[in-house]
Amino acid sequence: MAEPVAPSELGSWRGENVRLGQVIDALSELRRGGQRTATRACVTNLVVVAGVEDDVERACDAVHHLGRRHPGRNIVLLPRPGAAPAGLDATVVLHGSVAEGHPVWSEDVRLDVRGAPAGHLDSLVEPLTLPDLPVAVWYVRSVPRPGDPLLRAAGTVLVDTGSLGSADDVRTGVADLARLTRRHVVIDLCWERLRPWRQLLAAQFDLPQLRPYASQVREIAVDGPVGARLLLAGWLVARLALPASAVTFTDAASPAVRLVAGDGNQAAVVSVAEVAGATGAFVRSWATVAGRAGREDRLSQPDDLLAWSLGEALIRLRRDRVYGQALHAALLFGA
Amino acid sequence: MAPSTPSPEAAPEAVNPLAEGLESDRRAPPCALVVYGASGDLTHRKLAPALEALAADRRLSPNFAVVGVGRTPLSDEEFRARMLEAVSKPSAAWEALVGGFRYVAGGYTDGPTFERLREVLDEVDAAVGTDGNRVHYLATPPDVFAGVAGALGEHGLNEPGRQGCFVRLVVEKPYGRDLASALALDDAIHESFREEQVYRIDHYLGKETVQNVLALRFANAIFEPIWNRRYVDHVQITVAESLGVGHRGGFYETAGALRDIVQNHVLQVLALTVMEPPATVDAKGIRDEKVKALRAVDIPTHDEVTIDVVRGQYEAGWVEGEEVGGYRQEKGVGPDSRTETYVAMRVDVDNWRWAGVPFYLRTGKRLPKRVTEVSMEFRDVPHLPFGSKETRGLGPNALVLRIQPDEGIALRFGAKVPGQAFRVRSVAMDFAYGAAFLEETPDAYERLLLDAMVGDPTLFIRADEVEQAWKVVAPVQEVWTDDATPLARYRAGSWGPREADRLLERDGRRWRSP
Repeated sequence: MAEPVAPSELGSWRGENVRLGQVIDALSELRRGGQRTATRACVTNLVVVAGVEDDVERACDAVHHLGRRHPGRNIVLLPRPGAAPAGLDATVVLHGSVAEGHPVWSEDVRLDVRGAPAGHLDSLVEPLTLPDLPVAVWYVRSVPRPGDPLLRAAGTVLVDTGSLGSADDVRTGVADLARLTRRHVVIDLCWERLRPWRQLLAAQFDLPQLRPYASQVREIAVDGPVGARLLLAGWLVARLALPASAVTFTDAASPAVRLVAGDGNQAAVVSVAEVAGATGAFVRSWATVAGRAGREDRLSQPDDLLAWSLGEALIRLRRDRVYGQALHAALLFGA
Repeated sequence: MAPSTPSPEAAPEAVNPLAEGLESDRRAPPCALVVYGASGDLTHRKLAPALEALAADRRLSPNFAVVGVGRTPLSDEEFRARMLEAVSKPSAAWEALVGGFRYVAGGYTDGPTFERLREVLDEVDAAVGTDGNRVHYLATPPDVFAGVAGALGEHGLNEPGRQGCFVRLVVEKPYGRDLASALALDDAIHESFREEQVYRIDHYLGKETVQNVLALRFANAIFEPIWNRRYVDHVQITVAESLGVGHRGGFYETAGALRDIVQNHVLQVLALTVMEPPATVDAKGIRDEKVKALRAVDIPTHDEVTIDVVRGQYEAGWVEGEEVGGYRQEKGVGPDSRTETYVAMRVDVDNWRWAGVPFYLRTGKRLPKRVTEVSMEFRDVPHLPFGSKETRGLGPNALVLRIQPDEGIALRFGAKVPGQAFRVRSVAMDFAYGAAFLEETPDAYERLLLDAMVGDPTLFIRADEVEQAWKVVAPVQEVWTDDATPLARYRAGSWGPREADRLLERDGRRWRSP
């Protein structure tokens, strides 16, 4: 496939205290002004729910970083239920690029929602979504409360356990997510970012000399920020059928796991951790089996982890049973 | 390394409890890729860039190495430099891997070559951790395929050194020159390798859009009900190249379009188009159905070949604004060459679904543009309630699967022309994959190399498929061996010889202009 041309801004519109109909008209008007033959690139509707202005920028940066992979309509919401007067400020930007020789469009709609409408975001989102495409709603730094009306519009809920704030906030968030996964498809960007750790651990136990040890793991040490270590520990105890008491935690900037399996001089130790390399960070796994060095493996880390994890999430858009197990098991820990 | 698709030759083991949910993250296990013909064009143009892309995409294990084997004397350092030069912007991951690559110089059937290769592979296992896993890739001229396979067997490099390891053999096309030589090659290879170890490449099957034929047919409820003789009038499969034979004149003189394109690419696309839905989308399910489809292709008699098959050769002309010479003026081509650069043929598929539906296949070089497509032309409506004046410009419905370039699907149907009068004409609803999925699609070699390392043979050709495909073209080869068979000439830049047009005209049809 030919390299798509990077998106450029084709036109924009901004209005304060507007009605949603004006936003929709502005979208149509912008499209009419473009080339008639352009195709609207259509893979997904991504709705971003931001808490503060910084979140908007952070989310938009990530969305545009992956825009060439997941073009579609991006609806960024900044709800301020306490702000007055109630109303809507909107910005619409039409982006154009060329893929495979075809001009393609995608659109960003930002809505600053003040007052009561902030409690009814679904009514703003539904008219703006493109038909027949999945709707993913990304709560940038929060977990939706049960009964959040926006969940009605969401085919998939994206959250980020790594961005929920304090340790207490994370623990509360994990509990909320465990409930949310019963009724909704939830994809956790933190869980996606932990994929290299999970891949490398799983791969170690794919090796014939280590496979028998998968049923003999007795100690698990998990380091990292609270969100990541809860998810990793939950995953391991759920998949390896271990009690919570097998796990010890250490707070650290980056996730790391050490598993001890078997006994005595036949024991195996499998480790995985992030390492800084000359050409960028990578995740490395290594093992010792009965005192002898086993295989070392590694996976390079992408430059922009948030954008990468968002891209991975938008590829999957389906229920992850193993994530649900990890969340429920994470409730066992007070770490 | 992500848990990978289990290889058929691997012994069944206990389930890895940590692997669930990570199945889609396909990653090659540790292995040494032994490339025969490592100093050649295919390695430089296709294999090295594909491997680099896999490395950049984190699909290769750090315990991966290429061991090049070739006649050209090269040091390890020179080979590594070539592997880096083959890529315009090598990623850090590629540069890190290339440092472990090795090279063995020598003849492809010489004992010392394989003795040295064994030593080097042992060294690579120790230095890189390739674990005794080997994928032998035959990127050599086809005349040494059997010799290399035999030498690998003689030197014990055809079987894993210990349980849990794998040894596979990837064979490039052409797989034989005809049915007899393909069977002989199979016999020779099977003396050293079991069939499940053999991965025969047709890079067309690695193309994303060829695989999309399966997705279109079997993931949509609306197409399959009309995918049969009741609704389909005929099918046209076109594999057109605007290029000539270039520097491959010498090779092409020994191949021709029938061997180079029809026996493999065209018949593979045909098989995917006509096959029945597989019970499972795995290697066995898909390949079983493809073989059944090829078995249903009516093998022409010699008389039918003279009527239903056209062979042509290009003369000088203009292509894409450039004046080009004829085939006989190409380097390495004899002035009186009768090698075909164009084939058009009608085939019938004798089964319940397709009986009576003609399939028109054509391929050629120096045609107006590069395009591969399958066009399914549908029957007319039972009764057209409009007059001929109103329907001037209305053609039959057609579903076109564009495989390259500009991959996509077009549906041609009738629509009212806006205005007071009631006039109907054909319009095309055009879907372009590139505009809907901006996701980077892997190159065919990327996909197939990873499949070979992972041990997924779905997109490789099984021995019985190759055999059946040769059986389909065998009568054509036999008839064409007689030099008296007409060789139609066509102007470079045209859609082929007039005789090919007549092939359809006699059935009341005509070729599409893709």
